[in-house]
Amino acid sequence: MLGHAEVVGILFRLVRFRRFRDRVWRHIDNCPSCQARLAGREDARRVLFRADDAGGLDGLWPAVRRAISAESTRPVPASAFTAAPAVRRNAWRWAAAAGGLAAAALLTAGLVRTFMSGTVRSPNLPGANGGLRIEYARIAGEPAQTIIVHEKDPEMIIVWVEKI
Amino acid sequence: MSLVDEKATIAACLAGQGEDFRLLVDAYKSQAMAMAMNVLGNRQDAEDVCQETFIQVFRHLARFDPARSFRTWILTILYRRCLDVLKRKRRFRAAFQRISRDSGQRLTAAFDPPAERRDLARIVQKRLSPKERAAVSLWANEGLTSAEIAGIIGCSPSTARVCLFNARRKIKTVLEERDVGAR
Repeated sequence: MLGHAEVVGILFRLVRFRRFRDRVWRHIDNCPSCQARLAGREDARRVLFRADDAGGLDGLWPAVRRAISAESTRPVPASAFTAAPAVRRNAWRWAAAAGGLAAAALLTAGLVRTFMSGTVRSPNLPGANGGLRIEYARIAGEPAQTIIVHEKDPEMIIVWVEKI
Repeated sequence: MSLVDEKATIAACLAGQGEDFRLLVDAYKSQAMAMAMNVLGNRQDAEDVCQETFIQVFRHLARFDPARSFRTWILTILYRRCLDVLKRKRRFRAAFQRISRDSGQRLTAAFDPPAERRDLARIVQKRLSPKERAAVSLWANEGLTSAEIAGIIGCSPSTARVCLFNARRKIKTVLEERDVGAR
């Protein structure tokens, strides 16, 4: 059988409406049974590390001092935290935006070029003037065997040159 | 350290008297260390985080709003640093542990609670989330309210209250289990 505090806890977790939760909070704050299910400050301090456990911490100041004296003898002025970070943040945003635009432009140009070269027929292409003529082919100064393969695709001719 | 002294010390540091920063370090180092220990559960990490926190506080002292509590400001920076360490540890657990072992220089050997509390603290470390540990540490050790805790851990007061509620419930369970085990 669930106790009173468990029922309140379950209702609290299940129902998320703010008004309901406020009522539950008020109940928990004033109900001895609910309070008994929660650790008090002293109970919590029994399981927590406390400031008086920290002892001297004698090494902390020398370490902090070394670090801060290595940089400067005074804190960074307030002005450095007002204008500059905003400017720097904006600069980064602009740089990122410019980079993104440049990448998009390059990609678009590449795509356009690819598609255009596929659709516009160049007069130098073999299909355009009816054939391909090779006078001779040499490999390392020596005559080579040349095989011309004409595929079904009218715009594609494979030229295979082989050393004899 | 009184509020007046604190403001005077901050003004002196901003005017270039860096040595005066020691007064602020001495005033808050124990509280900072206790909270770091409660969130991280590891002395080496807690010491590193405390050191980094005070260095960051010094660097950004000019940014401190005097209308706010200096203690709350330090603890906010400390909590974020602790979360950074936990995140880093999750990502590079093995490498981090190796580095921790290698950097042997200790700031103190005096952080040593009684054995029973140390054991309980270890159990609580496992059962509570970092946010819950921070919330309950700030509530029990520093006496802060849900609204103040919310400002430090970066959530709404309602969420801070839920964190605190869950933490207190879990701690109660740990203590009850311990009592049953002792009988």
